[in-house]
Amino acid sequence: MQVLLLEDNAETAAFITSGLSEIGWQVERFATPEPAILRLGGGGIDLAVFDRMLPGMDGLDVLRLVRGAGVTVPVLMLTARAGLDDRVAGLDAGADDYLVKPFAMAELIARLKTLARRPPQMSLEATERVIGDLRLDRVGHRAERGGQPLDLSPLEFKLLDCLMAHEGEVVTRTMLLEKVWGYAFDPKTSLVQTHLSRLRAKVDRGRETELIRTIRGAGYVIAAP
Amino acid sequence: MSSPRLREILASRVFKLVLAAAAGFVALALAALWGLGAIAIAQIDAAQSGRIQERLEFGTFLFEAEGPEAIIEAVMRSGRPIWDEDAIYAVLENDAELAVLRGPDDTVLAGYPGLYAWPDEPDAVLDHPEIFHPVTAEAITLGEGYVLAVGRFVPDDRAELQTFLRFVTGALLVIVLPLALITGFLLSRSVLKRVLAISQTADRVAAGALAERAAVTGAGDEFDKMAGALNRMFDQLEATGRNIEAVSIGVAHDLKTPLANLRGRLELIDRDRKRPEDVARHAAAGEAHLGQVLGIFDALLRLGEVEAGQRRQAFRRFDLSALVAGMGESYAPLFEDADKSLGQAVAPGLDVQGDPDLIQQLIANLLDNALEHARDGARVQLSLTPLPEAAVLSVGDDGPGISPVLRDRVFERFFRADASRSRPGNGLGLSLVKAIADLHGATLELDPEAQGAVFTLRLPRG
Repeated sequence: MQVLLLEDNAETAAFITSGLSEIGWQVERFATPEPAILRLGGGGIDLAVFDRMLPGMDGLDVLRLVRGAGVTVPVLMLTARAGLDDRVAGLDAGADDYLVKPFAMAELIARLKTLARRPPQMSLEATERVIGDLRLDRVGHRAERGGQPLDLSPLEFKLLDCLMAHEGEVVTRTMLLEKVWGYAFDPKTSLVQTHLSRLRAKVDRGRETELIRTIRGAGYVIAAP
Repeated sequence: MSSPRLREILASRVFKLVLAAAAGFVALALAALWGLGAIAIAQIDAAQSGRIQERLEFGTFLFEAEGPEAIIEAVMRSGRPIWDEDAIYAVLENDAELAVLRGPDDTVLAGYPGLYAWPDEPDAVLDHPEIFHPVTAEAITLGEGYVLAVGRFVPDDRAELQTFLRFVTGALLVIVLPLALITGFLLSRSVLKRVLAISQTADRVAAGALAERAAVTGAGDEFDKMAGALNRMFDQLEATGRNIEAVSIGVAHDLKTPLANLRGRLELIDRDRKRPEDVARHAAAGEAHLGQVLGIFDALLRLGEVEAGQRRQAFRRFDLSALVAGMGESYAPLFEDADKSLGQAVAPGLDVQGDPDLIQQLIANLLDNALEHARDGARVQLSLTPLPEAAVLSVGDDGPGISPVLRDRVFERFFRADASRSRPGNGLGLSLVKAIADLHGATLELDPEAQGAVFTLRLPRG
């Protein structure tokens, strides 16, 4: 995976580069916007990470320029600002995801992997998801495992749907908060953990194989054994 | 309260204005009085002069037609051409004319010899041993050296009018001006007294006595209004001061503890570097401590963002009922796991104008608060009730409630009912709830009637 990183802060850039190198990705780092824009136009880049505060230029403007030039590479915006409007502005400008500094490396990697796996359109429109003996009927709002129906609350159904859409990938707590609950903030309480443990009890308890796993310090993953 | 000094009174605006107004009134009154007086006197003089002219013209006619004898005949009184002194009394009594005809050699031919008046001389004199009444007279030369003079006693009205005018002028100057001085003095002293009381209070507040308040007399006058407005400002000032104090202490304490813990973990990592599993444990713990610090900054930034009011542009109409019901569903399992329960009574179909993200955070913070502070086994109630003008959202438990002393302070930044700060939380959650409520023009209160801690939010439906 070839990642373009546009980040002027050397320490943050080193942190991201080392984190992504560990999972075997190549990182090309740029400290100023102009060469980065040229490089993106040249092709061969799978993913881009832009810092929002760049010397002399807003990362959003760089993004608009790049998108205007017809570059469709998925872009994740990084920002030091936690403002509610910033997120919306970033997505409006054509960012595919948005992450507020400081962040955990696991969070960044989970989000980048989701972006890398596109197209998400297909998985969003699927009418049925199947992982091993777990089936989710998205039209009839039913789920079953090994032929037995699962008694899920609407929220648990959404949660399971979200996990299954990212089969084999780590889904972080904040990603679930955004996608399942639509919360733009981080509740102090263990909202995600509580619902996930209930879902796991319904999906995995008493089964030979566990489909949902917790990745410590990162999030959750659903995968066939 | 100290009384105003003389110098302050004399320098006061009220005093100067009263004096200026009084002087203006006096000047205006005098101008009107003297103007009208002058007109009245001129009228009297014109009437006098008209009658004198009439007589002179008649005399001229007689002289030209029949000579001096005709005038002598006409002037004659009691059969004699020359009047004696008693005749003047009759003239005075009858409001008649005085007259004298002098021949070419200045001999008096008829009339009263004591009337001296000459052509082209304005002053006339009546020489009488007992009557000193002023006269006006005019004289003409009839020809051949005959001079006819006709005069009239000046009416008493004229003199009375003049006396009156002089008296009123004096009275105005002597009575009204000192009165204005006294009024101005008393008025400005009473105004100054109130103003000084208020400004001295303000000075004391400025000097640090934040609890001082300006006296409100209850009369509802303009000073009460001013004192009321100032007191409200002082309240705000005091609250802000207390807030800053609380924030300083809160930041110092709440940031220091996790940072100190983090430092401890870093030292432990250094010590245990040969045992990777211990290092991992320390790193995880250190991250948690750091997360606490960052959480405080996030909360402060969010609070600042909400309080700055920038978020109002994101307002739109949304279904509050669905939002509240969804949150109730999300949170119910958390309450169960914490050995509490969450009851819900959410009226359907309630639309409000606002920022749904922020309202969601507001409800989440109230529920977090209940989850954290309600006793074990508590029943927490989440309800949404429609009123004609507002949507009433309440989150409350059935516990012992919050003591009245602390009730007003729960929304302050970094305020913790638990002074030891041993429980989790940063004391910013309810501050954010309050800020979001304020942004939406909603009222938020800790219901004093309710048993338990019940937060009630009234969100305008308009």
